[in-house]
Amino acid sequence: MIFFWAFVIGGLICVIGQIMFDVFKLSPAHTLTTLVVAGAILDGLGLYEPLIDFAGAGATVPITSFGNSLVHGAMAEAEKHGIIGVITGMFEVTSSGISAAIIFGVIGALIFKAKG
Amino acid sequence: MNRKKAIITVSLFFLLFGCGTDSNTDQNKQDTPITGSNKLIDQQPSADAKEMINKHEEISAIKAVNNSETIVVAVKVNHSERFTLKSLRKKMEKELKDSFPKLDVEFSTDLKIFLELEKLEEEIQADHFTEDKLDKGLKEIIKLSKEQT
Amino acid sequence: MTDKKKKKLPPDALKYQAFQQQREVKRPLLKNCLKAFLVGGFICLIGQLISTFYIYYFNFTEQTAGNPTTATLIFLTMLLTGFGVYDRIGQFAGAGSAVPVTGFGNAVISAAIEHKTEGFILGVGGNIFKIAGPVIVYGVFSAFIVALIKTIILEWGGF
Repeated sequence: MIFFWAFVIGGLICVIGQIMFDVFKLSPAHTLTTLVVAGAILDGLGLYEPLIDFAGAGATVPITSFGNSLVHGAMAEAEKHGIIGVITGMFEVTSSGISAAIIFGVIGALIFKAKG
Repeated sequence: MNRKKAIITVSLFFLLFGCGTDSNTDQNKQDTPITGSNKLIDQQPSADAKEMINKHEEISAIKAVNNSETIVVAVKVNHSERFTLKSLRKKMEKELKDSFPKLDVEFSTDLKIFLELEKLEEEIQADHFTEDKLDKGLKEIIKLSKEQT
Repeated sequence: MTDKKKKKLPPDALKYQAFQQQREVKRPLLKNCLKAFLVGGFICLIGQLISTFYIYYFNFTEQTAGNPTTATLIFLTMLLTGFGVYDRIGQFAGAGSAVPVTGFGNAVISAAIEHKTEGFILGVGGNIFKIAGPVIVYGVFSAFIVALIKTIILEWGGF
């Protein structure tokens, strides 16, 4: 079941992105930024975690989950160390995406040829 | 090109719906309580816990293992109820803690914890399973359930 | 096709064709959304498969399987980007390939590959976050605001 809902919810989040492309004429950078901020706000409202419980990768693979992870890290640290945790804890849960992108970016630049 | 796309889409949906038939339907909701030949490790609290949690309709499968100090329970929740997973978890954890005031209660809805408990339950049935191994096994599972990253 | 037609038609018809193209409604929204849905959903499905694989065969829980899944997806993105396949997927799927984390990875990796002729320090290092930069900057900033507000509310409202 989770495979079905991962597909559907992931697809729907991408459709929202496509609407931002076509109807609101936003660039990819603007769209992705908006979606990340939306993910952060939804997690603040406590709405993103249930979506992850229900749709699994359908909610963790889209870029919105990055905003969600950042808020999580910040809140977890704030619970332990007070308000300063909001700044110190942010990247604790979610380094994977950025680290992997940088590492594979450099490896890619080493291995692959630039196309015209 | 359009026909090709249609065929790919349709077969993709069949694949998804095919995978949709849960392996849960194969498992008995009523797990048989553990009555291993090993009488040193009393699993009665686990059997009680299973009976108690089974009453909830949202639960499709349950595994529980205990030693003298701790009880670890893992459940699989019906997919349509997973939206409210957080509140279900809180409710059932409270129920277990109230019912077993003398034991440390660890409750999880995580699939991995469920799989590990399943393995542990099977190992308990074995003749040469000692109390030490049970303690170690439970400790490892609890540690796994606490990991955040 | 229109070029061939232009050579055979009289000038009035050519004028009308130009006029018609001007008034034509572009951007098939529904078709684009469908393509985005299918490709985006498919990428998330692959993510779920990878995640489940890590849970069953490795020592990851549902909580901790997210990180290796993301890393694996970005590794696959590196291969697709390096061989030029991801760009073709992007042309077809639009947001379906840009919104998942693989799109983020593609933005970073394709920028790195593209700018390597300018040198590794300034070229690759300086340009790698052209598109990904705003995502990280405003992701962090918005998470900061949200977490700040939430923490303040909890501290006032809680005790």
